[in-house]
Amino acid sequence: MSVQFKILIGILFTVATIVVLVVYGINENNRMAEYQKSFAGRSIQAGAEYFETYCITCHGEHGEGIVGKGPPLNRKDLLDLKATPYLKAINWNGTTADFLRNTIAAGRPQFSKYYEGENYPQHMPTWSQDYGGPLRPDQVNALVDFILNWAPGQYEPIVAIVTPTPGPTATPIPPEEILKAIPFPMPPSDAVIAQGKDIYTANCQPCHGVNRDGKGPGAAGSIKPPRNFTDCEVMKTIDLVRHHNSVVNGIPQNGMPAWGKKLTDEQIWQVIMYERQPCNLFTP
Amino acid sequence: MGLFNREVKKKTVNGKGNGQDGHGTNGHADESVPVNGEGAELFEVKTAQTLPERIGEVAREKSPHAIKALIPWLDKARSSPEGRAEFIEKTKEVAWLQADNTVRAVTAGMGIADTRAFFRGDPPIEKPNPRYKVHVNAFFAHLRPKYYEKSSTKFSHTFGLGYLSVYMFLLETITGVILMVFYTPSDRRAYEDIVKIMSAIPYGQLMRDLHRVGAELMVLIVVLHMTRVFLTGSFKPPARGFTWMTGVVLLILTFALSFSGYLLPWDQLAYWAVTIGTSMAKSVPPKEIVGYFSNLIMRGGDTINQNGLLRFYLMHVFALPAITLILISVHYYRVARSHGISIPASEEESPDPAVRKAAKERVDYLPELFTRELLWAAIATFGVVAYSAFVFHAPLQEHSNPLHTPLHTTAPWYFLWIQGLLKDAFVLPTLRALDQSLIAVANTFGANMPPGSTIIIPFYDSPAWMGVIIPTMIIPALFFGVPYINEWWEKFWGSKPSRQLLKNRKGTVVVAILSTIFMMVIWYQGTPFYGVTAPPAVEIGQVFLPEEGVLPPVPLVPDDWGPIRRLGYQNLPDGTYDLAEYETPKATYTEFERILSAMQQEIQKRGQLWDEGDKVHGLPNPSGTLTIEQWQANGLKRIDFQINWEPGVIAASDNGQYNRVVYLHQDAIYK
Repeated sequence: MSVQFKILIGILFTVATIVVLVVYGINENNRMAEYQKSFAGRSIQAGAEYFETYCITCHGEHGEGIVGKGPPLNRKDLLDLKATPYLKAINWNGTTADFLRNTIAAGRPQFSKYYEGENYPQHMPTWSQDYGGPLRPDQVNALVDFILNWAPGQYEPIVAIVTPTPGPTATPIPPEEILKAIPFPMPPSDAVIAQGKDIYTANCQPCHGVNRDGKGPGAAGSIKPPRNFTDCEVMKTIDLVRHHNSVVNGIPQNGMPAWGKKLTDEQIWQVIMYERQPCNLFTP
Repeated sequence: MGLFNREVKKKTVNGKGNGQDGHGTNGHADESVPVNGEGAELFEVKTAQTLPERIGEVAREKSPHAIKALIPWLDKARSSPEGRAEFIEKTKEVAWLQADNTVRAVTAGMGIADTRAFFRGDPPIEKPNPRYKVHVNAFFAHLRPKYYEKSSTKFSHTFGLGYLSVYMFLLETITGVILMVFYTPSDRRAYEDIVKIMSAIPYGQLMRDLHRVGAELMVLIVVLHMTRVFLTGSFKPPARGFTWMTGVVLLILTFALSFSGYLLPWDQLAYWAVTIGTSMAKSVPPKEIVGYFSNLIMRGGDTINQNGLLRFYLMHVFALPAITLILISVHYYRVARSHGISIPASEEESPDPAVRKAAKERVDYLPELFTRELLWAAIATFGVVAYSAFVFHAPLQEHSNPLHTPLHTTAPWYFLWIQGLLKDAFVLPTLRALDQSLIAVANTFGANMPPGSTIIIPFYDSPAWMGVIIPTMIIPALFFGVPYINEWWEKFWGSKPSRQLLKNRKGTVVVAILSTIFMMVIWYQGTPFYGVTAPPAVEIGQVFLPEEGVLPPVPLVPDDWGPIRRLGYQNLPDGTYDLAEYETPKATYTEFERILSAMQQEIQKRGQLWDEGDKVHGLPNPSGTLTIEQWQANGLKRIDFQINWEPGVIAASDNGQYNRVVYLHQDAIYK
């Protein structure tokens, strides 16, 4: 190949590269705008996932709020981003996003005066890792994006005071029926205890501890210290009915989640047996 | 042309004369003019002179050399027409000389006529060859040899792979420095910064894509370069043995550079690919000391966190590039100054002296190979830019989450062979079989060992052997040793040292083919297609709604987000779909319905597998439902893919249900 031919082809390719860059550049503003929207959309998607994992137990599947637990989030006075009646009522000067981010990150150590007389007895825990919670900053932001995506909100704040209804699947079993309800013979076999141990390890151990003494790593963040199953004096006062109720429905005011939806009835009984094993309390 | 030649020869003599008296090529043309640098005369009062005379004299003294050279002709030009013509001639001459000298300074040695000949591809005009002068005077040209042996420049011999490796290194450096401007190595900001690069910085995405494409290509090209050198026998001692070894170090450095960059986007893909890659360090024996500390030093903690990110960043942008630059210099210096690029073995070892002589003919670097290299650079730049602009985009998936390992996550593709070794399809099964027979033998002698007990396996540390010891042996022992083992081998058999592959190195061909097959097999074993352990329902979910954080096992292939995400928000109608109704695909089906049909077929396949007795991959009586709900009015849908099968059949506690839930926002791009 002659030198001049090489130079010619080289120049052609260089020009072609410049043309590609120019063509690419023409659309660059549109592309950036599209990507900004795309990442905002993906943040909302992630927020929806986190909301399902962490928030619906108190705030409801669609942010409608659960009486006896947490207030609605998908509501007109909070998500009216222009008039911001809620923020004005609590004297908040920042934006709604700031307010949400702060509340999620740092929690609510005190009940809002806005809810005076209403029945939302759960404290909002701290969620950000900055304040000892489990969420990274980007997760908190994703949650904010998800909540703001409801704007304008659908629900009016619930003002009427309703008697507290416990968790979602409240079906207390009468004491005389308790032994009939247990799906395996009592006292439980070793196999049942072993299965209970697996379930306990996966679900309960983070707060109640490896040794069932209520000293798991998650105990630090809970409202009341988790139950110590090795303290037999106290455990004697907790019968099977109460124990079953606590697991199925949770104890919202103490920070105990409800497991009725997540575990099957048999699994719940297995884990109860494992928890009662240290004190050998297998009678009703 | 004739005119230029004549003129130049004359001027060159002048130029050389000037060069000898120490002025070089800076234009001291006329020696008759005295150099007068005393500025104080300006202020001396010479009463005999009038002011215009004095100004005229000072102007003459202070004017540039070229003008000064013309002054003696000025008076003649004023007095007669002949003088005027002479003055014009002289002006042309001086101007030419000035221009020529300037060009000489710029090109570091070539005059105007030679520069012109250079670009025309003509042979050099002056003697000695001024293009060799460029190699002495100019820094970058001095790095290159003055000429190459003709056959070593054949494209089919080298494929320009060594040159392309350096090109990729430069491309990575340039794009990398630009990306560095916008990036913070902090676990809180890294991901956000990458999002910003992609969505708020003009050409930011292109820079990132170029950097990614360049990185993948660099690994590929370096490996190919090494393969080429091996196959053409261009690694042989005494001259090239050490060069090969520096090349091996450069290969490892290329892996390290690429791998350390993987972590920086801080998404699920990055986090888990690097977690897998570095987890090998943990099992370096003795684990309790070396494994523990090498893991600690690399990751800055038990898992990768802020410390690990900063370490990887510093390695990626400072330590590794610096070492690589030094090694490239050593490697290239040996090629350029010590032994040159090899010439094809068939020509070097040819019995015909004419062939040997023709192979060693000189080809000047300037301009023949210089323009060829620039042409290569132009083509490569166009290719990389066009590919990054229109075809491939570097993936960015969800934010890294140390608490959630994505299903089927893998190491980067060039480490898949190590991951394949880690799955250990060779040694562990053998040991298990050995264990079984040992136990059988022991039991016949009345040892009465229960089934499932082991004898040898507890003493065999699979991750240490497969993840660390064997790869470590393969890279330095085999690769460093290649030139010397080869030499020793030839001496052992008393064969004549030869570089010809098919003629005299048949053993090499066999070894190369076998090791390539072995590498391909373990590479395949490293992909998620081999030895998968996820439950069948999860696998079905993974096909249609894959988790974020899964690398494609082949480089430079766009991400696959699964058919449903690809179909997009707009084309997903709300509703609950019983997949059994879509069993046989109809011609009238929409794209969405065809996906439903594919889902049903996949589920049925699992049912058939169960009926055929495959209890690992099959499902008893499976059925599926896809539910699509408008979750938020502002464009968010919830997709719930539910698979049901007979509960309690696979295991007693099995509830026979699996849900894969994915949210999809209308603005999210999955292309």
